[in-house]
Amino acid sequence: MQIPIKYNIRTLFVRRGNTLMTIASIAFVVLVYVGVLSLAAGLRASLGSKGDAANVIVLRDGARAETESYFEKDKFRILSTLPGIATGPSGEPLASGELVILQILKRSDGSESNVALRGVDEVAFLLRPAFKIVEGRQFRPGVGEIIVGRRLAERFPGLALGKQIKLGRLEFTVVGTFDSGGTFDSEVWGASDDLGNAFRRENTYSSVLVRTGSPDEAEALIAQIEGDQRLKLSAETEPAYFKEQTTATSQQFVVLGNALAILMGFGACFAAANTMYSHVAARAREIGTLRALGFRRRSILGAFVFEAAILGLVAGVIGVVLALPLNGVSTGTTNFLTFSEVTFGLRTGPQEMIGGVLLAVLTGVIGGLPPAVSAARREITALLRER
Amino acid sequence: MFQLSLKNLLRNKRRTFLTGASVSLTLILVCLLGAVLTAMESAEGSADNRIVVRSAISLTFSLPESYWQRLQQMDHVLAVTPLNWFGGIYKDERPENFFAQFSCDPQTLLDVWPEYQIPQDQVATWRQERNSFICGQALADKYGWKIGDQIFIKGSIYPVDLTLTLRGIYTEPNAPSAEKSIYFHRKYLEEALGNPGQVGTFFLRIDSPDNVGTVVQHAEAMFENSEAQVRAETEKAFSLSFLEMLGNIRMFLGAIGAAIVVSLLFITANTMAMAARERTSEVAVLKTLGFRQGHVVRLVMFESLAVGLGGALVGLGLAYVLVRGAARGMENVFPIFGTLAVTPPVALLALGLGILIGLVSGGFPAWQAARLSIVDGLRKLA
Amino acid sequence: MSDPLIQLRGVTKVYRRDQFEIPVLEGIDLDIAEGEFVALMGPSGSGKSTLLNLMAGVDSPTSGRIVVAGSDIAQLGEGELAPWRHRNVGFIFQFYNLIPVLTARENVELPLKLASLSRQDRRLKVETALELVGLADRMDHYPKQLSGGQKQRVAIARALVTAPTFLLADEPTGDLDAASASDVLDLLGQLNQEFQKTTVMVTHDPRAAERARVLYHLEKGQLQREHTGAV
Repeated sequence: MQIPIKYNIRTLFVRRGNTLMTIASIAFVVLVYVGVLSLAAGLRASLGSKGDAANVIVLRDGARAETESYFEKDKFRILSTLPGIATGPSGEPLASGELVILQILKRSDGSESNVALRGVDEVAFLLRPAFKIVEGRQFRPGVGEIIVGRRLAERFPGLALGKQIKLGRLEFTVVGTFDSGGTFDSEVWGASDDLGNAFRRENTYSSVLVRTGSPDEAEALIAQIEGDQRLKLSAETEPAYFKEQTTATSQQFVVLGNALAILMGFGACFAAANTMYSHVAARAREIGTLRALGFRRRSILGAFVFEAAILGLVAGVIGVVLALPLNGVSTGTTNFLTFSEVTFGLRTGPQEMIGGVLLAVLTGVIGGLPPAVSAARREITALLRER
Repeated sequence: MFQLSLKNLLRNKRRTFLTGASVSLTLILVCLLGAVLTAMESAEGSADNRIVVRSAISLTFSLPESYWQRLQQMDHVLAVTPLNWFGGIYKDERPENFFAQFSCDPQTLLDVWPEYQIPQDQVATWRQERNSFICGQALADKYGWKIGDQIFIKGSIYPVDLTLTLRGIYTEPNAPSAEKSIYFHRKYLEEALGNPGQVGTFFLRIDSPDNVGTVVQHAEAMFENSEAQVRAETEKAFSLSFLEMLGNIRMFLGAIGAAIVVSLLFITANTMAMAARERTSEVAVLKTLGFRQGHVVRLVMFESLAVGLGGALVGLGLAYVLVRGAARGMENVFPIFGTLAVTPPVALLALGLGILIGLVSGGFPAWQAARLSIVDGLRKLA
Repeated sequence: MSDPLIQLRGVTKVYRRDQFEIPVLEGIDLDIAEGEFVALMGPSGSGKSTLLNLMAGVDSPTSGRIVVAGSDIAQLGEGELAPWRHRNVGFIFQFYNLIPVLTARENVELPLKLASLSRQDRRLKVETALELVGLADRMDHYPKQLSGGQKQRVAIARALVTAPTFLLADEPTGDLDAASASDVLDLLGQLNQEFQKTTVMVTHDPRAAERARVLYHLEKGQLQREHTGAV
């Protein structure tokens, strides 16, 4: 790069009306792109606890999600005696039978959605070390108390701390909110007997979460469960299960984001191309002069591509800054695999920001390339004749 | 005069193309989003005199079969039929192989959906044969099913696998999306499950849409103190409740649409202004030749309108093609998007936007051109 | 007599417009000795600027040889011509062609960016060149803050700063009032006399032509040596 950078930057500044309009249009593209990426990232983060490969989730054979799985508690008793299951501090098997129920509840904007209620016993918390109470306290079994995922409490007024709510045929009190570091933040947790009673599901579980000593032991346990004809249960490791739940839903947003970015990016490329064409046209004599002074074609090409890249870079940074307020905005949608509400915060992380800036620079460069090539290819004498 | 405008547009073909193309692209996006939002709010095939009764807890809970009779005895109710969503897997789990499967009561189903057209002899065979099913024409076409063909569906919500024989094909010209379901005997499912007597949803046909509100209230009140409370709502509200579950994703789509329109305005206005600026001297010459301000304004405005409108028309055409493609691609993931189309209101909106963009982006340069003093313009010529 | 610095032999230039061929130069022979100050005159469209462009290596002849300091530039491709121009040609334009967003200093510095020079060297050369043209006090002004004559002097400094083999000036006074034009011509004459800078100037201003030592007249593609000027 022999042509001084300030030449490009100052030129962009001189033609600022034009430059600003182009920057604005590319920045909008970046804003939309980063917004959709943040949606996807937030959703991924909320669904996608990575899980522990030594943990095994057991469902009824054929069921794809806990919400459509149910089986008799007898099977849980058989399960917990299988070899390979780790034991807790007081020697109990680390197997948590859990009841998952969907209940229609109202969001703060008045619309309705299915919220997952999870009935658990004490052992459930031993299996989820990341789980912690954020506000209030842990529920006590037998007295109709529940705790609510942090984000869910924000979006469903009926689930705010201290509220009384009717679930099934019984009244419950919200005594705490919790943070599970992912997947369970969109759920309501209570004692499995209490919730079973409220919905007359005293004799069934939806899933069993089992802890084994190692990923290898987990695989062995899975083989044993699936091989057992009495049980009619299917099992997979926690990471595998979480991944299935996540990809389908968040993938839609990534696809949407990319499709929008490509289409809008084209539009923005046109804007960048138009701007750079006019910059090139207005500076024909300057280009001719530079060439006559001994600058090569490729220096001219480089200078204009660089100018377009700066244009894109500035627009990208502005777009990302505009998108920043989206970070943390709380929203919710339905995971159609589990048919239940997922509440999550938009997440504008470094990856999303870099993605946005890259898109903008790419837009600038692609848009700037044809005018730069045409500038570099013209004959010096023709350039010098231009006004 | 207009000829001069057109010549001007053709003079800088590249810019005209780039501007028109950016208008087109953006209107394609507007049409796509518009089509999605429209599809979300439409509830095709739902009659305004049909009511859905289901468990007040959620769709994963069912109602006792005994409610059937009690619903039937209500005033204004012409027919009641139970439907269970089977949600099984046909062939594999890929979304394009997904379609709606209902267990139903063959005796009463068509009383609630009289608009389904199906030959009487087919209905008769279907009613007699316990492991038979009927399907919509669209679905039969998709898989090439013929009467007598057997299909296998693996249970997912229910621990039951189905082997069914096709005995009838119905059509519903007014709601093509309704042709993508199959209906089989609920007795088949009940027996496999050990006769639990459970019903997922009851569909009711009411004598007149005016009485829908009354029936909804009475139905909910009737089971207020029963073991399973119910929620009753119109079929349309029921369909929309699935979209409601998507939450404010809709709002995000709307916001994206707005952002696109704004960025479009920037792009086009910018280019138009550039075109006008470059012709300042030409405008001055026109003025010395005796053209009046009105002429000059019209010249510039006509140019930008032509680009806006031309871009809009091309964009609409492409959007139409694209949306049809998208509809085909998405109908299996979200059945409601099978109806995805650039509806007249969306098309009008896009066309209107094209004109608006032309007017706005031509307005400022036109005003500048009209105001231009001849001396300034000619100086630029020097 | 030693070989001339610039030697043109049988140079023709034909422009092609659609299917028409327009001959601009027809077999030009021209010798310019080192240290000469040559003026080219002629009516509009006579091809004088084309001739200048050919010597500057920004255009190439249809046929003929252009030998400058021993090398035939008609044989060079654009890839070789660009560095050649940088080493040999100082080009001065009618409309100055300064880069509006750069200051006088930065404009003059521009061609030096192509050479591998230290920052201090560049600074020294730029300041020397600007002092030579009498603009030491205007170094940090932008072109729009300078008068026409000053702009042209910046352009001359830019042409000089690389110590080119010769200077080419295309209507250097064409855009200037009489007083400024006279200043610029004084400067060019001074450069020619004091530093023996070979200078070729295209002009249709007879007063400008008077300053040259050799005057050629170009008409209908033919070159005529008109008279030997002053000095």
